[in-house]
Amino acid sequence: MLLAASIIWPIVVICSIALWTGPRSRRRQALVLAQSNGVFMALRMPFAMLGAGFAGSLLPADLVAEWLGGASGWKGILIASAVGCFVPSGPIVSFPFALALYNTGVGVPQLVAFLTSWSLLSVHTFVAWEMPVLGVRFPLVRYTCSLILPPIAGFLAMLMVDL
Amino acid sequence: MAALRFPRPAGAATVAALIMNDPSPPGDPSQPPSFRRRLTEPSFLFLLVFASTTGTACYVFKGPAVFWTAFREHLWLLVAITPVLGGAVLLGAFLQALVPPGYVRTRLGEGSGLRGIAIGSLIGLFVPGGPMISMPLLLAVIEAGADLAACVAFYMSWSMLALVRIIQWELPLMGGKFAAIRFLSAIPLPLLAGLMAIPLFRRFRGRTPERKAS
Repeated sequence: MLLAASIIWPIVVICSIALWTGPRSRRRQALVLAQSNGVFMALRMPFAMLGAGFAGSLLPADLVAEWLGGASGWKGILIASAVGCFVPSGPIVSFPFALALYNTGVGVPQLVAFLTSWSLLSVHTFVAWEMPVLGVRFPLVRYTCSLILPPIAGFLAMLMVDL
Repeated sequence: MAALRFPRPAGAATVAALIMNDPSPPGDPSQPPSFRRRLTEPSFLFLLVFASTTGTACYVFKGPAVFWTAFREHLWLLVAITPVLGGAVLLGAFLQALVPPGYVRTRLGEGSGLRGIAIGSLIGLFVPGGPMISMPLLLAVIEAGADLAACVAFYMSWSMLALVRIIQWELPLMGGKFAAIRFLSAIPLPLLAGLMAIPLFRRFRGRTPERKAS
């Protein structure tokens, strides 16, 4: 928490100085955006956080540890990659949920595969954003290229955890 | 935003919009929706239903003790993460205002081949925000005739390595060690995907967005 806050706030200060010295319209735009994003987050965060927490405590801990625990190896990485595709949400839910998984005993490589798969292969982003905006060819090629990446990320993470 | 030439898969998109957590594609960013409108956004309602369903299920199946522990723990987590989230909200907005999309567009459109893939991977790190920002950006870049493999690399890097998202979510929630491991294991992936995309794009031709540019 502290580390993240101490990284983010100095950058915010630098950016606000840059904005302050810049043109006025840009400053206004930044404030409008900040307010809009702030309301967006403030409305969602409490429910996302609590929902992810409850969902985490509903998971059968022993089963999760067996299938996705640190000892589950390749099998766990593949399962986590498959599950990640179907988490229909933005980071607001998936990161608190990932934390809940972490606390239930999911291994680091498996969690890396899960998060990578969520960010690359999420079916809902593909259907709701990529296809409508970018057509068919680009999203299909991109998705195909992504299919093997979550297991690779999990494998690399496995190497790093063992180090 | 540029006109869409592909028919929208309307049914699927609507269903997905109902369950998804991202906001509906915004119209004019300078005109934020009213507070009442925000309370009826599908993604907000989805979260409301999500939290109440899981909460009820937790109370019924696991008992009040587990329910209240989860409630307290996550409320506390929410309080603890608020300073980071506040900073991230400001940073996202400031970056969006400071770096005009035109800048990213020209940079991304410049290179092709390996160089393009490297540039795309690098730029992805610094573009904050969700798909409502990156998708229109990608559309504009592709229509302007940018290298498609570079665009794939950009997309990958934006979705896995975007620094604001890592500082905002991963670092505070999962801790520095986990964030570092995930970041390091994701670094080679955009390059890999870009390289895989080159032969795929060559093989799989068809009516494509980028034809318009030529």
